[in-house]
Amino acid sequence: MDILNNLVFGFTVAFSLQNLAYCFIGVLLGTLIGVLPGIGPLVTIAMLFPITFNLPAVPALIMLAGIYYGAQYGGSTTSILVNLPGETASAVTCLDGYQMARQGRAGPALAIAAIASFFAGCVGTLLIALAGPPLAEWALLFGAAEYFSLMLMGLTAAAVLTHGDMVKGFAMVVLGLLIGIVGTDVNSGMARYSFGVPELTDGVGFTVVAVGLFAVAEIVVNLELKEAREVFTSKITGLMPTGKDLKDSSWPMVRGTAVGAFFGVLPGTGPALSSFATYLLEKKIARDPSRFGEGAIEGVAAPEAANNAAAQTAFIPMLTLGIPASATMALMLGAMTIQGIVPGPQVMISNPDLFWGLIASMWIGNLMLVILNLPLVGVWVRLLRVPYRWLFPSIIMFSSLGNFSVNNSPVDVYLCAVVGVLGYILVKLECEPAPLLLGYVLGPLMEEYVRRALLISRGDPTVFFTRPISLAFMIATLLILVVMIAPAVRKKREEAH
Amino acid sequence: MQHSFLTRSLVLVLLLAAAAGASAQAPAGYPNKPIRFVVGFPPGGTNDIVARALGQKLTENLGQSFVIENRGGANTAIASELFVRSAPDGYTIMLNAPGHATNPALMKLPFDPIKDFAFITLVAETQNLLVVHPSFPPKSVEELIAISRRHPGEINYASSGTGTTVHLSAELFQYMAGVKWVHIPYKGGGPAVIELLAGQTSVYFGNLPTVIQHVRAGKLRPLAVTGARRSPVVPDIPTVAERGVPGFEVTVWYGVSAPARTPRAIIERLNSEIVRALNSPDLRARLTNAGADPVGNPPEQYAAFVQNEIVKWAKVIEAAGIKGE
Repeated sequence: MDILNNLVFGFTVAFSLQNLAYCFIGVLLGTLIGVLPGIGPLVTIAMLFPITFNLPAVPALIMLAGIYYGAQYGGSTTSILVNLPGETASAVTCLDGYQMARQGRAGPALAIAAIASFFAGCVGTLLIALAGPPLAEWALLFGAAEYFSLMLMGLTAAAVLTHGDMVKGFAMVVLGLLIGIVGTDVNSGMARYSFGVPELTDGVGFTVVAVGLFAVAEIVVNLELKEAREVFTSKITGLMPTGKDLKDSSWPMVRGTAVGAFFGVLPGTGPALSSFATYLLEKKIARDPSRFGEGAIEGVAAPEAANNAAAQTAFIPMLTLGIPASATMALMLGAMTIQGIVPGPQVMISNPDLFWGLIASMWIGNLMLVILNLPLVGVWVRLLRVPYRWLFPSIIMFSSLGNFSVNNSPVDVYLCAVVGVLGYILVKLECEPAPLLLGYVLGPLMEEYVRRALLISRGDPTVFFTRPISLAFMIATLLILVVMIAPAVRKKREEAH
Repeated sequence: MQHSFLTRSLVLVLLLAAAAGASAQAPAGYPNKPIRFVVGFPPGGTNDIVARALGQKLTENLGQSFVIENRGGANTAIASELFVRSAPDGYTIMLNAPGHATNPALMKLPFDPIKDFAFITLVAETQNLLVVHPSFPPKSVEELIAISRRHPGEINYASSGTGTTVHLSAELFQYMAGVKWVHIPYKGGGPAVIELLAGQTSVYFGNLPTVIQHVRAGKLRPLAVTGARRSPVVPDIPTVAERGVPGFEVTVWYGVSAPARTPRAIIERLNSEIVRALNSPDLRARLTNAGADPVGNPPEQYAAFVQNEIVKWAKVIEAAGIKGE
């Protein structure tokens, strides 16, 4: 049992007093910055980067990793409590988490988020240990054609995201797509829809869109209603999830973990996409899909499991191939190279203490996080009792701070305000923000991949059907379409008879 | 009255002269507050890492914090635009990168890339490494040129984005070797390398530190480095110029500048401090580990270097017909 020996070795590394301390500092910091909206792990890790010069490589990496996955835990807190996504990946948690909080069930929502994250984190860690290298090789099979087909499948499935009106849902996806393509075109280097504003040449940031759409719009809507606050605070029913809650969320947690682990390994898709995908999946297979968006606990458990599983498995391409899946990962890669460790396939052999110690520390870190987060649930819920006149300005201030800190750019703060107004109009028109966000995330990616696939095939569209993995996704897309259309057709026929 | 006015004027003139004299020397107590160190990219890239490593050493040596300010976008142009408008008092400096020299030919800039800057020193240099997928036949630059001539417009090369040195190295190569490839751009070096490893594309001029581990693992075949000299990191790999494309040279560089009109004394002080930092063994080791060779030259040499780069890339971009914004 090589793996077992390696894991035992990893735990002996991770259990040293120094490494435990740095792991704890990392996850604590991660939780805090996760709770503060906009101030993400990237900025924090960048600021702490020089500190790692004077640390040995193992504790340095353990701490940075702790910040990274700790932020995924903390990110859900503000999503649930005040509809403010603290992290990119927790935007989806807003949909049902916030509704649960409005129904007085903020406690169970927060607890389930922590439990789901813990479960997913453990599985993700185990997956890195057991199957890291082969999974990384497998991820290499995904080329532009495969990514496009995968996303086409996702977007088709997204039609179920909409509550009622299909046309409105479709319009929202297209609007999101339009916002998404603002910025420099990858192929020609031309700026699109930048209106001469240099800041727009890099597009509209995810934090800008998510925070504007959810948090700012929600505050504006709430300001219209007097005494709406009461609904919120008067009936907080229990802090911990009931047995039924746990039973309802157990399978979504497992499925969320699987979906998250899948997307995490694929470089360039990441946690945000995984939480969307799993939410769609849960809604599709639920017996009563109408509960989603109205405070379904599955809608919290699944995405939270997914984004944490993805956060863990995103280490696979970084550790085994030396390929960073995101800017945060690139920074961790930088921390390794600057210490003289060459990341890549040989890191397991040349630095086994780093590889196995890091994996073991992730498991320990996840345990610390759940211990840290469960008692905090009570504290967070009490936050809901803060009067609106204090809460609103604080949310706006933190959102603006967070948006500013991503690029040190005041333009992002103004843009967020504009998106907030748009979000308010959408609420008034009874249009859902979620399909917009999905179109915003998926649209530009699909464009990039379809154009690249066609560029490589010299314009031959059969490439999507001749590559086996791509073909499989195409067939799945067709099946989804049939499943979606069939009931409608049958209904029509029955009416005709 | 007249007399006292004259006296006052005289005193004023003397004071002004004294002030002017003082500004020609190193201002007493400089630096006495934190210094902003602007980086034209978001955190995480090599630029950011070089700036943070250097900033940490300067903070140690000068006793004042060098605060990294990431201002990403338009290949350093957005950061530069704000930077040139900051006070030329020595409390704002910037890390320049190759984008500084390629942007003038690619886009309309709201600042002058030479006149608006007071160049301090070239911090470090690295180069690109020409690699191919192992399944792709050429074993040398000469063979690559030969096969490219036999199959014009059939070979795919990847880049980390339009206008990057990775892209422009390939354009310069096609232009000088007289061959034609198809450009497959990616958003950043990470995705480009992944699909190169998977064999989706065949040729790539990657930043040395980002591809070297794959070469060592045998997943990519190195053909040549793009610098004027061989790299100390991989001394057995020839340069492109040695192998059939004489005069070919692409350097990836990192330098530090201040806004124009920063007092000469401050520029000299910063130059000597950065050179001293670059000579310290720990910073040298960190930069070398990150794949960059420390330089540290005088301000005039650095300014001339940037000037040369701008002229050179303007020619390549014009010849290759690369469209900007």
